[in-house]
Amino acid sequence: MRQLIIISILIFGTFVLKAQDALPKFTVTPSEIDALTENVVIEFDVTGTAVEGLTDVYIWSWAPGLNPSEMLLCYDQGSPSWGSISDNAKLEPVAGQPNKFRLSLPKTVTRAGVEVTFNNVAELFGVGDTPGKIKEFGFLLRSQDGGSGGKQTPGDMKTSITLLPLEFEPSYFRTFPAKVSKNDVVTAYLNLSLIESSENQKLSVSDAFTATVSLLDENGTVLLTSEAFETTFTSEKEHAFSFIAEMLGAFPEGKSLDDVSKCQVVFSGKVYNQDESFETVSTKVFEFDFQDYE
Amino acid sequence: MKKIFSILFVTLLLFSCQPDEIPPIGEATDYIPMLTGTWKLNKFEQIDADAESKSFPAFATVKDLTNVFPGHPYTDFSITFNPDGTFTADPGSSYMQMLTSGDWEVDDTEFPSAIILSSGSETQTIALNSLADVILGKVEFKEERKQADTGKIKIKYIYSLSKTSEL
Repeated sequence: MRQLIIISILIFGTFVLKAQDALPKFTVTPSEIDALTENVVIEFDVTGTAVEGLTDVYIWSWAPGLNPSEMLLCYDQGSPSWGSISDNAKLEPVAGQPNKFRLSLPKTVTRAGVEVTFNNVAELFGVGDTPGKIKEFGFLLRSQDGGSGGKQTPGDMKTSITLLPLEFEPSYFRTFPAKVSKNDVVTAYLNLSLIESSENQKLSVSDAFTATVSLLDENGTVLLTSEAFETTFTSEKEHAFSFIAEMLGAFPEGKSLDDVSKCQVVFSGKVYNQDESFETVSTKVFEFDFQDYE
Repeated sequence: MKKIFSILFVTLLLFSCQPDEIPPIGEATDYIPMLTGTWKLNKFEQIDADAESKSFPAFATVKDLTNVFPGHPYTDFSITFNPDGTFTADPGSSYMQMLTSGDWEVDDTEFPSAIILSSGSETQTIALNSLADVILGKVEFKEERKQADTGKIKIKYIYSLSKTSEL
């Protein structure tokens, strides 16, 4: 009888310990996110974990390499403190499913008496202006009580979310800066190694590229078209040329730079024949909007 | 005898622990005479702040605009800050947009962060990116383009200038 009790206690103890170690299951929507992805939902299933049965479940999260590394939801002001987690870190219960909780972005909370909205993961960790700094973040789920009577799922990055890298994506056409105002220096690039299938494929063997720029008003009416500019060939193997809207030419009477809201760029190259005659081939019209910068 | 040595040793230790006197802080730097003179632009860079924040490669983050317009180098630009508080700027053949003459002053004489140019009713504020090397005859101006609705910095321009003559 005594032996039976001991075995029962051992088995029960094993189950208890297992529950302490059990990791919460979670899903991220959309399934792949980067630091700037908006409208993210992370849903946690705490079945079988140390926090199962709690009405209020809190998230404690940190991102390696940041200082402080803790998510801003975990503390209201000053430094993060395990013993006094902010109410902002309380997860939203999923209606009708007592073991499920979720964290949804955008999330509006009050921090240090000020209302703040977090739109993406970078903002959750206070690096909204430098999102490249966060690559992944770990989390654990816990009770509000951080003392010896508190409950928590395993830490040490046992549960973590890896973010997609914020990488530069080469494209057939791009501008530098990627978004510009009509008062900025704009450089337009054509990358023929990424030529689109709908384009005249002779462009790939063309030479002596030039480019023309048109400025349009908000209705799409062309206000002026520039002369053809010579392009340069960059170390990144792109044809490029730079311009400032104001230097492109004279506006028609009654119109000025103030009326400009869009820009169109066309690249043209020459394909030489064996008899030294040539044919001019052009790209499609690339169009972009000017931004409203101060 | 041993006791006396012990007392002396402890006394010596206590005196060794006295805080050092803080040396007097020098007078505040007067940047005005250092800024006075003729400055010539030697580098003009454009930075895509979004690309910089995402740690994109250099070619997608920074562009050297110094000689981007053939026949219109930005190195043509020079500006002279006179000791009497007036200035003259010469864009040369560059597309530099700056007031060409008027008065100049700094926003804070002790810790200047901007030079304010004025001509009649027009004013232009030129942020100082770095004054660290002004004593060596080098200075950086900074211009920021911000998104109108959010105030977020989207594009930065850095103008590096060298002093060519004192006044």
